[in-house]
Amino acid sequence: MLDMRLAAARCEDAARAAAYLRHAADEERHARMLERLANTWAARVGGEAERPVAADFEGLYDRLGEERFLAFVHRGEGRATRQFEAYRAHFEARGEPRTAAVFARLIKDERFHEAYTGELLEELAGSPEAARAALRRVAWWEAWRRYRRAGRALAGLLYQGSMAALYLTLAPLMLLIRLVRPVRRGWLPPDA
Amino acid sequence: MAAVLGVSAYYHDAAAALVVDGQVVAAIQEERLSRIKNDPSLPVRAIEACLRLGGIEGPELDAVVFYEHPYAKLERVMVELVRGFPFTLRQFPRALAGQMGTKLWVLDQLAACCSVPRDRVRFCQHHESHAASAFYASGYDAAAVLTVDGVGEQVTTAIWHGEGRALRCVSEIHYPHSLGLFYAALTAYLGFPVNSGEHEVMGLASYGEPRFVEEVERLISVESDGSFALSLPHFAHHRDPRLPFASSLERLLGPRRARRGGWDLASEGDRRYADVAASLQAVTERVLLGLSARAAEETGEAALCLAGGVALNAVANGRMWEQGTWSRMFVQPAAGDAGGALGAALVGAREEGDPPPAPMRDVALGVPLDVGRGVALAEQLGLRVERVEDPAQVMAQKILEGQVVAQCVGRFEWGPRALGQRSLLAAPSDVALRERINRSVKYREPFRPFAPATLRSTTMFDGVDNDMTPFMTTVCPVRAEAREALAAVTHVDGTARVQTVRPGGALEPLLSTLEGMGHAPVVLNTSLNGAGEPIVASAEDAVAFLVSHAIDGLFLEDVILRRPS
Amino acid sequence: MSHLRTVGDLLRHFLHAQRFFLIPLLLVLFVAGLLLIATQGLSYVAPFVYTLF
Repeated sequence: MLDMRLAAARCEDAARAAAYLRHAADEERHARMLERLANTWAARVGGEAERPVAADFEGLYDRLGEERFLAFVHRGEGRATRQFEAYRAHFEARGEPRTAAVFARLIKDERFHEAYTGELLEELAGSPEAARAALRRVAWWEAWRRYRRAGRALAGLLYQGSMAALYLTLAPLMLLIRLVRPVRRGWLPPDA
Repeated sequence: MAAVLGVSAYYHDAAAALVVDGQVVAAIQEERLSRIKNDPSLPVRAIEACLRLGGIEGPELDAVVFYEHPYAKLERVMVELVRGFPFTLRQFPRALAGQMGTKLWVLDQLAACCSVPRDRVRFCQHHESHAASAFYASGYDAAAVLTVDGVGEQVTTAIWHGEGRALRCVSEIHYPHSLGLFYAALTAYLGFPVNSGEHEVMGLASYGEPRFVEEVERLISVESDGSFALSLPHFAHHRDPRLPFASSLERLLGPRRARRGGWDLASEGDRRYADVAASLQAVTERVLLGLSARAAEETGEAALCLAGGVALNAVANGRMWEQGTWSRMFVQPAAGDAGGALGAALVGAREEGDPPPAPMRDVALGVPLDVGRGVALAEQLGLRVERVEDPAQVMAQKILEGQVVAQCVGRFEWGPRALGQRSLLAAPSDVALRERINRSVKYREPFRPFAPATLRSTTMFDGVDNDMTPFMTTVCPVRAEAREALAAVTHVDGTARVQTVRPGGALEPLLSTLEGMGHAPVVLNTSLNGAGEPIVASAEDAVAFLVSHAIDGLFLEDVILRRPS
Repeated sequence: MSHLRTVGDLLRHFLHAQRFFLIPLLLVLFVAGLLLIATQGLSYVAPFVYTLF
């Protein structure tokens, strides 16, 4: 949603900016719908719903440029449509028509998002072939991004492990610090 | 004469402020431009916007001043990590990654971002930046200055003495004894997010009875010299910032409230939490009154300036004012860490030999509105667009008809309060309308109050004639005879966080028009933002709000936008 | 060059008379910095939610 808002703020063409704004408003509405669903499920089992997951903000419009940004969003909307269709089928099979109806509403919007971003992409790219080329470039970029994320996650685990080992060497320092820098209460002179 | 940029970043509420020849030219919180609430990241957008508004390029800056001492901060972080061994194991890698990865290099990043030589980038102390933001903006010749927050480098509370251009620290209280972190711990206990939920706790407190004061006072002791100390076994902020309180606090006060779930103040459980909030507020006020008395004693001054995150507690500010110790009180509207950017810039300007700024009267220090852009977007979105000759008249009429309208004019406000530049407005009398706004527009808890904006000549409130009401940094009692007319903006305890509007203020045309039509010059004024979002900044943000929220009209200067009928 | 200036300022801060006992912390910082560079920091935990939309 934040990336769509950024796109609306950055895009000089009012028609496209308006489309991005409407898209952001839709995503905001989706977030509220899903939050209500989560709260309903949580209440059913007497638990508490997870804190709302905040969508990542990556400044994609600035990083990718408008054409590749549209390609990225188009691909994302297609993925979302397929995922929501799977959820709808699942809940229909489970005999939960109301939950299935929520996903049906989401699917309607996601299909629209997929369609309009595809049209805008073709318009910006200049031809269907150029649009497909942009989609392929973004697919490669997403694959590389997934690889880097996985790499960072693994590196992070390694870092955590190494730092835990380093931390354990601090025990003697702890005694020294408690001796020379005790916690002080009350009023102190400045720069104490 | 110099151009000085002040910056706060990396902890919460990043901001930038530009002072040229001693005068504040621009002050912008990054969240308004990035649209990420409480955005802590380096405020690149705010910096660019400040420079644009000042009409200067980065290399022309004489100084860039960061709002705290990065090395002293790192020192404190490391000392606490080691002192807390072995409980700080989980915090250790993340804290050091944060420091070594980004925060330590902030001065270099600022030099690169502003294209200035590294020599021109310096820093001041965190509490000095808070104190400067309040004292130099107050216009007072001399004052006591009290800065109270979570923690800076290691100071959590400080008393300063401001005289002319000089600002001298008199006494300090050090981490981990922190009133801000005490309040934050109980904010988390009550199920609200830390650093943004504190004002919700303040609103909730009025619905409770302070019957847990004794228990809360076991968490914090107030000394006869005005200082305070936390009972550290009950807190965990010095060990693990993810959960600021220890299990012993829950044994004392009962299980913490789950973060999710709506509030039902008719239920016993939620009433109990409201009572905890009331007790927290009562004890916090007691501590602040002690600090205030100490500040008066140490400085001998008659005026008080307040800054630091705790100064955003308008109810406590009202209590300090009521006490009568001070003949004048000023709270810098962006009293939290964002205000540190302004303070840093003012410290830098002082060091460059510039004169003090004019007293802060107007906080319209942000980016101006691009009405043309808003209209273009609205037309594309199929909204109804109409230019009117007298927007105040049209707005007044709509408000009197029970409608909810938004106003966007000029440059957006500095600080967390909407003061008319980016406001949602409605009639102050209609309680049902207030509930509609809370439920369907702002999506917030039902106990959240709304605030009134009124002309300074008002007779509907007591005690409005002070330096805080123009910025909504205090609360005032609503006079008994006015409570019915102000039912939607009078909190359950009979007070309101009033904004008094001076001649030339953004809301003055509307209020004067209402008065001219024979009605009380008061409106319900709340910030123009969606749930969990920063206050609207640009025309795009305002139009996005209109598209997503059921309000009756958006005024961009003299243009009304409405949703299709 | 700018980063070297910061390193110098940091050393000067920690080598102050009242802070000599913190010199071991400087070593810890140095090792942590090396580990950070070598392992490229903590897990990048940005959620994958956006890929849904």
